[in-house]
Amino acid sequence: MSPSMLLQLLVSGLASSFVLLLTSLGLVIILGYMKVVNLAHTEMLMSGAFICYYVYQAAGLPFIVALLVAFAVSFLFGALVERLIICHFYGKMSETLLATYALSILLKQAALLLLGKNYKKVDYPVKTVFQWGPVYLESYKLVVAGLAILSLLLTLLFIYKTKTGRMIRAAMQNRSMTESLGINTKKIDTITFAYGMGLAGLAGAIIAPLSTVTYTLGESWLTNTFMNVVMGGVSSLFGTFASSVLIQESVSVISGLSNSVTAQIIVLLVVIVVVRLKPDGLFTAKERR
Amino acid sequence: MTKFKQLALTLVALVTALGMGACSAGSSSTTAGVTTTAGGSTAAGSDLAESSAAGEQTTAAGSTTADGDRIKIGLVFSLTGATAISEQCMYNSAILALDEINAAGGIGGRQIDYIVKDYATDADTAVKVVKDLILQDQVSAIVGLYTSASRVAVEPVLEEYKVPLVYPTFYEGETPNPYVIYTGAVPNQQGDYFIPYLMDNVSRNFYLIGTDTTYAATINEQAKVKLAELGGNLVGEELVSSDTTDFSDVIAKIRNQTGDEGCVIYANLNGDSGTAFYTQFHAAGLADNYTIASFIMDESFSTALGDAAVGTYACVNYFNSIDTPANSAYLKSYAAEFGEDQAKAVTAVGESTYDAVNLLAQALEKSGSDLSADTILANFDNLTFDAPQGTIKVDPETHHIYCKARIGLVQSDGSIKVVYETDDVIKPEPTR
Repeated sequence: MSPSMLLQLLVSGLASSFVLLLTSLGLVIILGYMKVVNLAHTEMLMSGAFICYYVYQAAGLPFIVALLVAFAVSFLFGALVERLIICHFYGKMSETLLATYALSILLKQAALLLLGKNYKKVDYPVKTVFQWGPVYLESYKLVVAGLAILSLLLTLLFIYKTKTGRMIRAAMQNRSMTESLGINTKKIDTITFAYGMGLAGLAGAIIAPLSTVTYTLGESWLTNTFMNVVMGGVSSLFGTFASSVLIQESVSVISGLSNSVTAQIIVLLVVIVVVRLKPDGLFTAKERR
Repeated sequence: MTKFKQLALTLVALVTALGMGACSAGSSSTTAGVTTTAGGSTAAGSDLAESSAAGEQTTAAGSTTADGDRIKIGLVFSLTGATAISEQCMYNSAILALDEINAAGGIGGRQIDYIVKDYATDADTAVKVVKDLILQDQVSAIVGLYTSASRVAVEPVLEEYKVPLVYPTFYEGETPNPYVIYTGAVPNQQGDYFIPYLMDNVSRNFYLIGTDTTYAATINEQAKVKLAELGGNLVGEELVSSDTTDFSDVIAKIRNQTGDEGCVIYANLNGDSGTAFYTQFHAAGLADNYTIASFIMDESFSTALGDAAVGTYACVNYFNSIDTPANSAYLKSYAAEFGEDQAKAVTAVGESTYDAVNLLAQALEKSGSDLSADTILANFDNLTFDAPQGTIKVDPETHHIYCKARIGLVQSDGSIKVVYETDDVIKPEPTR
């Protein structure tokens, strides 16, 4: 493999890792802070992509508006789902799995029946391709990277610098103690879940231009996002970031040496070994015990 | 606690209703061009899917009892599931053909009743619904199926109960099953003409990309043989898993391994994976130097993908743009039934389903009152039909069809223009 190709693969891999980071953020919030296995996560990506199609492509509003609408709608939907369904299942991880799986089927079939059986295309909001010597990168991938970093930073700020964020962390560490301090943990749960779903909807809207929008869009993200979150450590945002980069750079480079199916198999094996040796993931948030 | 119970019940009810919508299908039948709606016990989900897709057409659950002057057939398509987008046009075309046949007086005066089943792109479900059609509904023949996996799965059932299946999808070829009539093209009616055409008109360099499925693997193997035979250059080869939607690594490799001299990107990728590849390939600016050619390109992709599909090549026996009186008539009635937009996205599998139903009607007519499988199957021999794609003929040896090979180029309006077609229909060679 030539050095210029290696460089190109590393740059492409890095760009892909921001896509993976973005699509995993909502999942890690809900899994890490609430111990809820949200199988509806990837269907929220799908819903966000549909919102992007209708707001940006069909209605012709600015792309940023589509992103905000996708976040807002998903946030509200998340709050509703938490109040109606999820709040009955705290502490029962396997039941949350079933409930969110049912929700994912609902979302997918609703999209199939209501939004039609055809391919919907969202145009790239920016179209130029940058070139530095032998390395090429689509400008939209830079936008995605920027939005991913922004989402990560805002989430970190939200969790670590705001009062609500402090309450979320407190509820995660010691629920009864937090309650005895007079904090309404039910409200905190709703906000956390809704925020995670909101991030998923936002991510879906951002990735919409990268392929076509169909009711099956969520499927292809299921393995990757869950694998990423497990490898990174379920309660660590930084871990998710690091494992996104690790996974996508490995896939990219190994794919350069062989093909992408082999690359995915090797990376999956590595993830299995990592999870065996470090069951809490590569980077686990330190908890007070 | 009661609140919780209520909620759990609601959830269970919802999921059950949904599951029914996804897995079963409302049975429907039509009579003499007049279609009416009836409640019955049809699953709500499917009815919604059918009526929303079929526009004004409504489904009916009238009398399906087999008396002497009615013929019952089964339709099996994925109205839900991963390939529902591709199969919607097949389903629509089947209904269209059946309505036309019934309106014209049926088969020797006998009306056709049809029962629709959804196999949701799942081979096990296909086996189950085909068994249901045969044992419960006692159909005389079945039309449908799209994936090769589902066809292979139901073949033992057809053999056991001796019921013919008319399979309308182009596919990779197999030893013909005695109970299957194949109305789609096989590789010797597609790829044999595609590779030489691309070598003469685009480039002698080829980069092969395929999903890790039987179909794509077979197609790409055949392409390699053809390239070696004709002296083309195999620049690179890539295999991706069928849920791949990120092609940045593949695109990096194409850019690096392929020089400035142009190259054919021979990409046979499934559904969402395919559209993602076209989109990202175009966004990466590669479309200026390299040209995508693919078996999967059809009007359902080309009308949706916009710029990303323009200037790419397709190869199949039917394109929407074919100028024959039969095609104009087919598209006109399709548009009248399902809308102008839908008619623009009519694909080769839709057309071959239309042919499948018409050929079956002819075979049933010849069979008269003897509707045993052997009689029906034997009556397919040498049948001809003036199809939208031109006249096709059933080969008595293989029960595949003689058809022309065509190569198409995607135009800026999303239509696919025929740039090459063989002078004559080609004999099918499914077992080559």
